[in-house]
Amino acid sequence: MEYVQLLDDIEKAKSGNELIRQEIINSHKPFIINVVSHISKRYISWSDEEASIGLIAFNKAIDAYNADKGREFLSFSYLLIKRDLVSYFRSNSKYSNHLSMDMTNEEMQTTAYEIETSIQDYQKAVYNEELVGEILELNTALEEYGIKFEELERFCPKHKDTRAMIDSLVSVFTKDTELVHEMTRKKRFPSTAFLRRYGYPHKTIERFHKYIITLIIISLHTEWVHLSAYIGIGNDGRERAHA
Amino acid sequence: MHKQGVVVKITEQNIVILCNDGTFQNIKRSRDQIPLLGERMVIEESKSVSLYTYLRAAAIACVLLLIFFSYGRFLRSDAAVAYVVAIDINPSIELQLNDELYTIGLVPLNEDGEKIIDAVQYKGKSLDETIELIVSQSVLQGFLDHKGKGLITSSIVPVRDEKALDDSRVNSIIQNALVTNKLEAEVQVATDEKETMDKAHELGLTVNKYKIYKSLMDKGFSISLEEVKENSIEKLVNLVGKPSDDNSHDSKELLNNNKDMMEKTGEYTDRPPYTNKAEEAERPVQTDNSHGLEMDEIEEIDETDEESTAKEDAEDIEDEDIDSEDKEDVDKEDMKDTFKDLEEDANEKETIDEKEDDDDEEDEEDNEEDDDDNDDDSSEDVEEND
Repeated sequence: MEYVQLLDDIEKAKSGNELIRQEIINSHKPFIINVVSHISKRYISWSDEEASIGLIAFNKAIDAYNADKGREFLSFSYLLIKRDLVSYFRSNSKYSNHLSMDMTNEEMQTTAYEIETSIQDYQKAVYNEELVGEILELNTALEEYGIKFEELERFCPKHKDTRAMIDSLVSVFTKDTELVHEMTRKKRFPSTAFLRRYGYPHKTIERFHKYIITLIIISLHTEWVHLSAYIGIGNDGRERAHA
Repeated sequence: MHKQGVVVKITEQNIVILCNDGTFQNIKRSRDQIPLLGERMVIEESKSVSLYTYLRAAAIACVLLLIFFSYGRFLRSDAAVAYVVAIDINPSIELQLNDELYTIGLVPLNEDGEKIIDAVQYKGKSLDETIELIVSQSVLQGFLDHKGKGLITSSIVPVRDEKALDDSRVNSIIQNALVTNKLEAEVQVATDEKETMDKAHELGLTVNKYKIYKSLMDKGFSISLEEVKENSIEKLVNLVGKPSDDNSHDSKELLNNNKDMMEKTGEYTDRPPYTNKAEEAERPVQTDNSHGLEMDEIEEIDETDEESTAKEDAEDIEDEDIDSEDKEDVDKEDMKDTFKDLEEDANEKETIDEKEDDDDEEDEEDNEEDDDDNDDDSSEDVEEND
């Protein structure tokens, strides 16, 4: 989903497409929970009250968002979430110590200043919103393969040579349209078919398979320009990610 | 060493980072460390490096230790023995195999076995290769012959509580070795228990021979361990088939007679009377000749069958003596026919034949039952006796 696509979807949701609205919310859930946790300064899970507040706020953002206001959607959502959370904190005495530094208890209204600083905070921390969008989309894609981000460390090769081999494997795979089709259809790496065609060691594929799938997915989504830069796809060699 | 990366997820314990080099890393986070998705982070490599290199070093050390200790295992035969496969032709040999079916030891259980083992390089060879070597060596040293059929018995003893090694596999290995050496022989394979093997070892025998020894003893034969050890399995098996009601049997006699019976052609390899299968099939089972128990009929080393048929034969023989010579003659005629073919083969080694016959003559005079065990030459003698 490119950014343009997102804006498009928001418009559709605004005009009443509930299915698309739900899709937007689902794909942004990691974002919502992350923002809520960040603002609450503690790890929040979906069973917490704060999470539902964040969810409602996000939904409002979909309706309130206006693309030509010169603000990007995520920063805008961030703002709305923060505002609602702060209200919640204020009405909930146990949070009186947890309010972020730049808010004073007296201020009930969202001033223009407030809005600006919130946005700035967000944008300072997250240099590139587009990258966040890509991360969210990657997360959605990985879910279909039963892969979680936190699992991937285990499946990453440490050795330079292995990494080089895997890079070449990914490159070869993505050029093979049949295999790609097979993989996206079944949501599994077609190792038998792949091994039959190409001579890559079967053990390596097994040992690193989740990471390999991840790399392939990123390669296939050429629109994820920032993520691709991190992976080093489309470039020669690594250490090229600056985005 | 520092690595740059971007936060892709927060979990209860960790922050998941996608690093510049395209790998994912989980960093432990403190309770109030909640970065936003997409935030940049710089991580210290050193911690992970030291852990990693430490683990690597430990792993390498373990591997080296393993190699060091496992090397010794091949030299200590008992330590890693998973299977013992005993083979008896004339030489008695036990193969000690590890669980990968590689030979870690060869133990001779008689003199002939020693001769074979001394000539064979078996260390680290697979079961197939070792058996092949033993068979070829047996041919080279004359224990197995191209001319006749021998008998090879083998028993498999799983030493630890291992999965049993398939009889038919060992059978086919031996068969293959025979084919390679262009030989024919009867092959019998059985699986036995460790306890049986231990008892056998106490007496210095292989399991195969021990079982035969036991059955001979049960029948009242007095046979010495030495004789069991040094004689071929074929002879002993045939002994088992002999009528056994005369307890005064001297085992030596039997062995000599057996020898005579078997070695019609004077070859010193043992083979059963019938090498012509077609004739064997035609042959009525109920002959006086207890040795006529076709080797094929001995499916397993099942002594009961042999005993009962032997007993029948014994009865027949007794009747013979009482009744008439006619029966004998008739039977002898039959035997003559059967042995005709064999005799043709035998002509080459007549001299040896004659020597043995001399011995037999003396014995046969005393022994009525020897009537059965005759080839054409000695049958004449018997007739004389009668």
